[in-house]
Amino acid sequence: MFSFKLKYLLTVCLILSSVSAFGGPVLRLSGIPDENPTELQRKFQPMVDRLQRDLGMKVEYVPVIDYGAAVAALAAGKIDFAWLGGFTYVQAKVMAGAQPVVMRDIDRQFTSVFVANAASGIHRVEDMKGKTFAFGSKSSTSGHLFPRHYLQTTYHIDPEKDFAGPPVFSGAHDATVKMVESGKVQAGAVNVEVWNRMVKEHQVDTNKVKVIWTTPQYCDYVWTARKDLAPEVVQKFATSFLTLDDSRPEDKKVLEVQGAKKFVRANPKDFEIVEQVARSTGLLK
Amino acid sequence: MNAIDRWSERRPGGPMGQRFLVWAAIAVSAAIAIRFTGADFRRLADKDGIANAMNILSGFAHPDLSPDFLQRIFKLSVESLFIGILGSVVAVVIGAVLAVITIRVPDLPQPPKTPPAPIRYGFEAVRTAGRWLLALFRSIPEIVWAYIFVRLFGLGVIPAILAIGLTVGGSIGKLYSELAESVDPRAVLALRAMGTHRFHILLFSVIPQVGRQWIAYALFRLECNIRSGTILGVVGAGGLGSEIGLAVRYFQYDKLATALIAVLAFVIALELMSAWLRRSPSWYTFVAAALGTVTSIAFLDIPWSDLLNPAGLSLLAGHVPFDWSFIRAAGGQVLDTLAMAWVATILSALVAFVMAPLAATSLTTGSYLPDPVKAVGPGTVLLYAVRWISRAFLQATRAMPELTLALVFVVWVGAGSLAGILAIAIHNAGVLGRLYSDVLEEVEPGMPAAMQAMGAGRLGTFLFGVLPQVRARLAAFTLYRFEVNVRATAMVGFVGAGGIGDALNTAISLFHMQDLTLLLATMVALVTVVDTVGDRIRGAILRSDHGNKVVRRHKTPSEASIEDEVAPTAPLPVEYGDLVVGIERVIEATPQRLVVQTAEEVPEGQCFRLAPRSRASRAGSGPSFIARRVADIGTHHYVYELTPCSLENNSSAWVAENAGGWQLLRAHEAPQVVLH
Repeated sequence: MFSFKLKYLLTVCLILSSVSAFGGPVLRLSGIPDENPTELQRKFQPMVDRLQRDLGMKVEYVPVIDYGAAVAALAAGKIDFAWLGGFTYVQAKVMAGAQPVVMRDIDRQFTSVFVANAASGIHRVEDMKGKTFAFGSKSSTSGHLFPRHYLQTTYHIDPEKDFAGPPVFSGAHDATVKMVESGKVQAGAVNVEVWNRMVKEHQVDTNKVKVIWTTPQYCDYVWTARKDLAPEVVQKFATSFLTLDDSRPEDKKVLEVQGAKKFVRANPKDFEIVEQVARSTGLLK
Repeated sequence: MNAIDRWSERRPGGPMGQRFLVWAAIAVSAAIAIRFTGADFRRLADKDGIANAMNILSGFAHPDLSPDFLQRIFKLSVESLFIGILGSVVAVVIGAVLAVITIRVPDLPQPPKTPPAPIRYGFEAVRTAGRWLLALFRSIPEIVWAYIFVRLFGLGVIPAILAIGLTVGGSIGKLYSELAESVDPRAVLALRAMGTHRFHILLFSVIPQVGRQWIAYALFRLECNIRSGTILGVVGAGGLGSEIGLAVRYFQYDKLATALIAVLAFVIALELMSAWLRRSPSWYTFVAAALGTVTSIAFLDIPWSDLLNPAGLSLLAGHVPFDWSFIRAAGGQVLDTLAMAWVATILSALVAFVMAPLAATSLTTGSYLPDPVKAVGPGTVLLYAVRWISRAFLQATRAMPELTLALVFVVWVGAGSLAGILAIAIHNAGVLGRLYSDVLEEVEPGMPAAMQAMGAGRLGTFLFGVLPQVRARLAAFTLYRFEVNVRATAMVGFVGAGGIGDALNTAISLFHMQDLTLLLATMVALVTVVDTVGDRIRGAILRSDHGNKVVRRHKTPSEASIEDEVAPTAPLPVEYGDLVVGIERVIEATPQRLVVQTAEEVPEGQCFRLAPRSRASRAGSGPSFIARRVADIGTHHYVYELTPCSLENNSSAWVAENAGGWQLLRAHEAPQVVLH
């Protein structure tokens, strides 16, 4: 009986004594899981290698399967840099003072596309009323925030009331496309970049899924640094991205998987609109 | 009064009409609830539904058996196992600590001096806080805690371990303090009278009396925890669940099939293992649990430093005041949750009501007669087949965690309340079916045996010989499961299956901390109210039925575990006696002889009865006897000769094994000894 209690006591001691908050000089990166884990690994690995070379320190990519987990990890200082969406960046800024570092050239002119299953009889956004609809992740900028915003402001569609049942959250862009393709939902909103890549790589049957509307442009993805990171590390990190040159073959490889021609400096101002929209749609409270 | 008297007495006039009213009310409420949840059952079998079901089945036809994936699945299964074990350790620590804080030590009738009021109220406040903490912990499903902890500690096993620790710790703590408060007060009062310190009373009087029960319950929960370890990964908390979540998100039916088969194999292996452990001496279980703990700590790559550095805590600070429209929405969600739980409970009760008699030996291949006529023919073979199929069905559905089923149904019928209702109904059909069939096996055999002797058919025996005896208990069990299902509804909602869980998921994913606080408070209030009201109604149902006796028949160890699942937080059955002798294992029991394993000896010259340690049988009464020790057959193994000590009917074979443990209860009155 008492030996049994002793076991628990020992376990607790073991837990406490094995705590060793030691880590070598490792830079930890992560990104919101807007696509499946294999795709993300493919996308980030060349950049990780490159950073390792430029910064002269070990760089580790930490995969997460939840958008919020990336924000929380950055806020908690568990990771140093995160590739966030516009909305997740705003969350990280509001909650933990995270700072934007660099973004891709395409990120200032980002759009979402509304796609519909060909058999659903949806040709225009208005036709989606009374049909089933899927967003991406709840925390996605291009898969939820801006599509919701434009549905409400441009088309006066209330996603909670005007579809057949509440909207489904697929969790990721490629998952939304798959849902629409299989007919599990009749329409959905996805990130234009993922859509274009899936079309190019024939991962989606374009006879079954049609684009019905493309949103106006807004500002999305950005590499974000945690608040109290040393400025010189942030600077080195930025330089490594900014010096990537499309005309050099080894750089081109890195840029290509990221879907960019070059990287540019990011500015907190870029995301003021995102923050306003996030507040007006009620996603940021 | 026997069953048939009561039956005929109720037949004419009022009570019968009342019963029809009750049935009508249940039917109407279920119909309203179905409409309210908006669940459209046609979606199970419409064009899309069938296509989705075929897709899922096609996955099972071609599961992903590539070595890489199998290796990964194996690794994750082991991780789930370790999560369950460490989660249990954390749960026991949390539960025991909070229990010790909340245990109320009885006061002397005329205490010589009372401590000053501030100290008294201070202690009382601490105890109340402890109780509230326990209520908070256990009212929130593991999955919700896990998702919150994913935010605080990042992905990996820590969130899952802590989540299990909190939810299960909450229920362990409640049970522990209830057990401790129901011990024989005389020993406590004696120490009190001598001025012993409260802590010493706990240590030397209370805990020695309940220690074994505490440990037995902790070990029982271990199995349930390992089961939940297989699914918490859907929110990124490690274990098999992460693979299931990804497979569902990307419609990878082959991977989904492999993962589901792995869960099933895992759970069944676990059940076999724990059945074996229950039959073995109890130190086997200790060794297994201790080894498991050490191995888990050694093999899991746990970033302990994160645990002490929950920098994410700052995220929990709120940003805006309560939002009234959200409060109204939360109110709607509560109704939704209740409606879903009710529909699921009624559905599962219907399934269980049909399957349970088919799975009960006495009503199919066996008989209530002591020496039935054995007929062998094609019919008998069919009956065996039906019985085994029913048992397998109940076993398999019970083994699948609700969350896993919910994910499957989300793929099948799409996200929404229907998926949640189906998931809970299916899992619960397995649990209720098992409970019902146990109850059916335990009836007083006189009535049905008499009917069978006169040639009554199986259906007739069931409807008129058995059912009238057990109706109240079936109703009480069903109601209890409804209470459990309210919590389960919040859980399945978390993976997109409707109800309050969906709102919880949104609040956590979008860092809406005020909403989260409000929803958690709503959950706690909902669970507390449902439990309290349910307790009262169940008590009333069972009291109105006190005439029906429970007679224990043979029970296999795995059957016993289900009883614990039914009423894990029930206090000890102390109505019959105030001196409780805990029995670890009953090795043999006949009306004349009792061979048991027990640390405490059975006092001689007092009248006892043997009762299983669960509320399920609290209403029943076994035969009473005086035990006289005739032999020791090893450490803590004793042989007693029994003499009946009251005029109760001692006839039946009333005992076998019960893994929840046994105890002897001393009769209230001075023994009216009838020595033979």
